[in-house]
Amino acid sequence: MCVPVSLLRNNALTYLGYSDSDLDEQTQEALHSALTHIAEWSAYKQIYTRLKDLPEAPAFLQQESYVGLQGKLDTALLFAATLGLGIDRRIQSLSLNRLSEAVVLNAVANAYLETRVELFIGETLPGGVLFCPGYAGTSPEGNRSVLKLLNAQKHLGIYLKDSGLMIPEKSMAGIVVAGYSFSCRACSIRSKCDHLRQGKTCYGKPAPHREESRNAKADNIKA
Amino acid sequence: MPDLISKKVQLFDGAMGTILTADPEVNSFLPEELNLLFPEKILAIHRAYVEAGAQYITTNSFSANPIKLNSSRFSLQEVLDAAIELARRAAGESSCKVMLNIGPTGKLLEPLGELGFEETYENYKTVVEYTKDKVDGYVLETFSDLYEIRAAILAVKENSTLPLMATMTFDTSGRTLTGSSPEIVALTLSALGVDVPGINCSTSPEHLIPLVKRMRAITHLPLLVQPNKGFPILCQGSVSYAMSDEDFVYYTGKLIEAGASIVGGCCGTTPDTIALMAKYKSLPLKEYAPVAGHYICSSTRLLKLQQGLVCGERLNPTGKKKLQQALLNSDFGYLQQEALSQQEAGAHFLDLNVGIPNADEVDLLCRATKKIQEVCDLPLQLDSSNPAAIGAALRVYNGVPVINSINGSGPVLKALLPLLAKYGASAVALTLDEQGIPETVEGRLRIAKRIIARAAAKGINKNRLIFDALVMAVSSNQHYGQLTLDTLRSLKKMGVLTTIGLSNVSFGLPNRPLLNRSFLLMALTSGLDIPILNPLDEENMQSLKAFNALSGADPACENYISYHSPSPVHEQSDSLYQVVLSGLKDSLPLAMDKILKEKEPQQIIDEDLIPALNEVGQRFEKKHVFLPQLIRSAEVARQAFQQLGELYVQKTDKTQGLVVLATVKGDIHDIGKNIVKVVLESHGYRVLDLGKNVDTEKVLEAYRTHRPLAIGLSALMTTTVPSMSQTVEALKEMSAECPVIVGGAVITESLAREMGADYYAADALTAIRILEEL
Repeated sequence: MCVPVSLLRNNALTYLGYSDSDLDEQTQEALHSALTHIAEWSAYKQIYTRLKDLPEAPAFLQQESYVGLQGKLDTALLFAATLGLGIDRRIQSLSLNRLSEAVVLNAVANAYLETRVELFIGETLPGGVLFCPGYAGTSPEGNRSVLKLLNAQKHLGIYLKDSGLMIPEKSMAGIVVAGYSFSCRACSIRSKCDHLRQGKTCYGKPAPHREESRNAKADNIKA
Repeated sequence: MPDLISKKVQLFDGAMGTILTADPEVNSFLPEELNLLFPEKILAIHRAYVEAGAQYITTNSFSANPIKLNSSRFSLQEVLDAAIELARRAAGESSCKVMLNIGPTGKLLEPLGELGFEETYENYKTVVEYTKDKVDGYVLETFSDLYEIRAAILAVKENSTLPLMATMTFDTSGRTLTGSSPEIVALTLSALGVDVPGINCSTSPEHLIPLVKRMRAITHLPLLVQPNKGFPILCQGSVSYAMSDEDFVYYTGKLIEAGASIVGGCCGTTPDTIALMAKYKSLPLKEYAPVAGHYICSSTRLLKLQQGLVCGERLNPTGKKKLQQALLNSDFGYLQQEALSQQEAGAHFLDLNVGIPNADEVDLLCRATKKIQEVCDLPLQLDSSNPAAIGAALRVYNGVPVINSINGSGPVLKALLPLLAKYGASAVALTLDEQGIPETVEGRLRIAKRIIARAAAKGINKNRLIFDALVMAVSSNQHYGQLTLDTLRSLKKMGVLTTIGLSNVSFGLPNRPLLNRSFLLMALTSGLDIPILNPLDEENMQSLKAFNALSGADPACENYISYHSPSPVHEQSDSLYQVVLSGLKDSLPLAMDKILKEKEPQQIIDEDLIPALNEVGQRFEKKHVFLPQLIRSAEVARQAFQQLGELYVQKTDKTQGLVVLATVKGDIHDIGKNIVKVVLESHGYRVLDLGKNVDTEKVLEAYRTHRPLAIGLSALMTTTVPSMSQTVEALKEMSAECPVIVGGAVITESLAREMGADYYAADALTAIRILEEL
């Protein structure tokens, strides 16, 4: 699947805070170089299954945070994707002696993974969003169930550490669901959320409540 | 190998898990427990494979190791005994061999995970010690991490004499999940003494054909290949495989043509599949000649030892105070930066020497080896005069390295040749012995021949040795230069690879770079293959590239042309203020030269560096510049500070004190912490960077040893906040007198207060403001 470079570039710039500003020459070069690194070092892989194809629904979906999902699960997917370890290594190496390039590559890698996932969702479950356990006040333990059910360690090489960190770092796991918006109110990093400040959510949709986005801006000013 | 291997293609069994998973009566149990809970089912599967014609069957023990079986209701011994007994019963009186199946731990090894190399080794050692008298051999399978299979191989080889087969799994990109290519896997497994390396699981058989060919190009050993029966399809909670048995068998034939010697099946295959494959058993096994030349590798980079390579010499503390200090402080970040700089400058592999007085070289060389391999994928040349240090580093090195060095002395050969043989490493061989360095070419050649003979007796081919013709200072005897050149010519006539440590030649004379460069070209024309030199010396590298282009060592002059292709022209300035403001790294030397003629260091700091940084900071806060630009400015300012410090260390008193930084235990995100480090250093602070995933105790120890100005802790994930909190608490309990500053994506002002931190820094510039107020 081809990822439109302009879309990827714009998403990466959003991560870096550049959305409304002109790029300087060196950052342009770093962006170009990051795209080359992505082509060379990343190995996008994904796996998914329809929730209804599982013998029973994963237990974490019974938790209160997911109560609003009931009735939306018929079409939902369990999903995981990764860019592999190569890009993690490249970012780490760059961060030792070319830190500004590492920051740009980190942003481009995040954007690339998210863009690939969005394109997949657009084709497979139009109108769907990938919701990752751990956000919006949900327990990150849900990731463990998702990855286990998908056998993502074997098929994609995604390990989940005791701390909840996924290795490779550029990995995503969660549930793709259509017709539902998660609230950001309970999210622990809401006050620092770059997405929310820009009126979006971390799962790629407009912020569900304008007020949330305004509050995030206000919190940020206080900080 | 073993008499196990015949002159014909041989047949392994197929999947066990596929059959068990499809059986609703048993598929909710741990497969290994079924050896005790439903032995008749396991026995039936084994028997079906024997009847299908399999010449090897594997025990149902994939997860039977202490780490993976720790939640079982049965002991490891019970499970292993039952697994072996069932396979033995199935094999009966037939000639079918019973191989103990050993799989990965399912845990992630250091540095990405928590599982240590020796812990992994001990895990497998437990299994091998218990089973070594009960099976016909071992098969390690479905490993995806070269480091983990290394630990398992050592556990088998050091604790049994049984045949060992070892296979890894590759994804559709043709690499293992941790990035190793088929060549690297073949090389490393062969080097470690595996009798039959190979591939299992992975993908469809047709996708493995090119991978088998690539392995075959590196090793002449028999190859075991057990593919999946196509790609898995996840449906209704179970996995199925789309390929037909007939197609699978057809492609198995192609795998044999490509170089597979023993074939079997993995996920999706059944006794029916294996029965159809039995026709291949009559095919004669091709014999493969040993591969010409010798390779070394890291876990992700393969390198053929040949003329035209450069070994970087800068990871050696002799005469380098900064490196010595970094090693004493366990500041491996400095070593990592040096390694990466040499890689960027064009080195192909790196010499690593950590010999400093009053340090435990065995421990230090191991830690340095691991740390450099975390970030730099160039193969290493492990350099020590201490055989124990070499042995320990060879053990933990992920890949196949060079060691530096052996020589003609009896005790040295006795200590090091067995290590070379065990780990399959290459070695630099010095043409000296216990009598010293011969002053004649003949004397040096005599030693070289002795080394070759002694190595051959241990099964080590001379193509694994790189002979050092030895360079001594021409200032002490002008004949020494010519002696080295003559030795190089004679060594080349013996058909061996050559090296020299270049810079010794100019010791004691003025303008050493000129002499080094000139001697490099003389040595290259005399037969020098692989110089050990400083790759950051651009003139040396240019000479080398020119030589390689002119001598044909650089096919089509590709490297030479690429090196000289025009690079983009960047904005230039000779104003230090502007250079820092715009982060113009390339202009820094020019700007520093200019300003040092005009101002004293203190003036430069007060009038140019700090004002420029302040301006960048203000623009950042107003969102006129963004993070990449802020960091570029900080990186340039940091270099300027370093240069000022080196030039005027006596005159300046602008070091702002030491700050200890760490990303807390459990968290391996360190870009944020690295940004803070660069910005602090750009403002003149010294930083002791403890790295990521740092234990509380290590932070306390850093406080006790260094009494820093402040300690900065970073955490990116909510799940690692408790770890940060614990570290802050421990520092408070010991009444640490320096403030603790916390930050990171998930940390907020109120969280910082709750955990008892003294300050919360939302970003690097806030950290600077806090430090300035202290």
